[in-house]
Amino acid sequence: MREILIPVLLIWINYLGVGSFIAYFIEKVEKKMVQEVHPFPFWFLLGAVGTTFGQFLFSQIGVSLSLSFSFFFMLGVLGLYLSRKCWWRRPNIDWNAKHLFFWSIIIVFSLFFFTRSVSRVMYTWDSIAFWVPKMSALWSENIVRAEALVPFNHPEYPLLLPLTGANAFLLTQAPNEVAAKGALFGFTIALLWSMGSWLYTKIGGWRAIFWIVLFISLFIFREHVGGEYVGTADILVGTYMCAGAVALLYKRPLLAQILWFSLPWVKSEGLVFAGVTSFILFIYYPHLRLWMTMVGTFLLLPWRFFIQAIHVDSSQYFKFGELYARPWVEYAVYSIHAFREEFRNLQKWNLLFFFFITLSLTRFREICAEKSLHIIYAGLAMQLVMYMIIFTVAPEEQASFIAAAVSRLTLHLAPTVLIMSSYLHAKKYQSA
Amino acid sequence: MHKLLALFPLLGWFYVSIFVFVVFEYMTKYRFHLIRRIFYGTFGLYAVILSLFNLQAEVQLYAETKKTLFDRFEQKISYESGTYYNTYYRVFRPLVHRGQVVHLLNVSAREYHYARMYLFPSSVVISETLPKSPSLAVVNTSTYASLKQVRVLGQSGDKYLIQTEVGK
Repeated sequence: MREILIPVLLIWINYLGVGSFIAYFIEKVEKKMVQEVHPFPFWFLLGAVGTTFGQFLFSQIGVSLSLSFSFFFMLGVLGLYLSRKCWWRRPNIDWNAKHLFFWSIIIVFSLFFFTRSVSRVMYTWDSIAFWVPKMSALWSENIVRAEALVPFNHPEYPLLLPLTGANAFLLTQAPNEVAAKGALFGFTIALLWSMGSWLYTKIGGWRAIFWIVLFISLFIFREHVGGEYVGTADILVGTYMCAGAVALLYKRPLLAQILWFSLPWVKSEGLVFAGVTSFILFIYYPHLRLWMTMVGTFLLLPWRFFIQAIHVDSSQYFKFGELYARPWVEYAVYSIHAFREEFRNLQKWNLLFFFFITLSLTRFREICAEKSLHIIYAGLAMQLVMYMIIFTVAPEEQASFIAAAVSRLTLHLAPTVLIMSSYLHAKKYQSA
Repeated sequence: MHKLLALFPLLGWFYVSIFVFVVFEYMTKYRFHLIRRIFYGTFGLYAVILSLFNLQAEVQLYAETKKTLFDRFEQKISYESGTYYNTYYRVFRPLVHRGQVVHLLNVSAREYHYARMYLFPSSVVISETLPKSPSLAVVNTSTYASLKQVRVLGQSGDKYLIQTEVGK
């Protein structure tokens, strides 16, 4: 345990620093500072993508991962220096017993999750089949190249998670999966911190405590952050979706778009949400179109070109050559029923989707009237529809495929669903 | 009508409650604040009770967590994967090179995945029998005992990394 603390802290500092460097320029473009929210979780998420994506790009011109990590570490230090005035920026709220109780819940349960996570190595089948092997191979090769990805399952999966693990291996000088889990726990902290900032500043009081307790207690969330459920990268998809939603609700469209455009770098499934939300953002915010186009092109194209260049399938789900005749209507209906059953599974999701569906239906007019909500709802809806299509057309036995995947795909949506529910519920009481 | 009634068990109280409440809200044009408060209050309380049970379960898991929390990485990996880390990473990996193909005989899928990871950048394949041509293979003690004309490059526990010269 002790041997991982310094490497994990170095990676967290690196990601925070690089993220603060990126955020420094985003704030220059948007000409807006987020005064009422803690910046650190956004810095971490931006920095994680900035560092790993940068390492991938540097690899293409032959720069080793160790050298690029050192470069980004220095860049991170510079970023932290440039943003030093933001370090003590605090949301404009009064500290009181409820506030302390709220953050105590987050901190105490984060410690439970962290200790559970690092008490074991990665052992779920996807970790053993490809996540940890890719980390190990990238660390061993010290560069991103096809040879480090192709021998393992899913070479088309993007590299945020494998490169974070490879960086942990680099700093421990061993394929130390516990260090990788420690470094990856930074994403859980970023999720809970961004969600906590949002809930306490915008919702407040007992209602904020209710929503955070509801989220922290969700079985699927706890199992994922504890590293005990298949789908190691799925909680990261939910994290970036949620952080983008929070940024947009704070009227930060460019920051939201960058976080959402990072989704395809987290996992391929994120491409749908990124595409839909970016398209609507592009229409709604004409003054940011140039930046959005540049960011989208920069974040999406290099990995797509890389996948094409190393001749691997870009998707495991859409293999139209393998499609065979099916009773399509029955398959589609079964996919819809899978989510109907999933949403009402109280053991996994408590009443999260109960509140979400109720509030979405009763506040339909308000959702239609507010730009930010359009965008987020369109992204969530299309993502859900895409999963139903995947369950219908994927060349696998449908029932077992759904049983294996439906919970972790629902986890992509869950953090954003909670943010939306809390927001709509607060709006309802304000207007009632 | 009977078709509508048949939907009840399919939807359960979960969706029926939502449906009834939403219809009520639209029909009454959101005028009955007390009903709304009772609805959210009741289900909110239910959600809190479920949450507290879940959080209690999380706290209780710490008893299991603390057993291995401060163990070293080598110990933790041995709890999950036995001797694979020591065998394939510590002992066999320094003995194989990039481009070589190592044949694994009589191994589980789990062992194959660990071997593939730890022996990288060598390639690893699962084989039913040893290939005819000279090659590298990992075999267990009983298979090794039945082989002739092989050279042992390394041994860990009951596993042997061998160089075959003539296939059996």
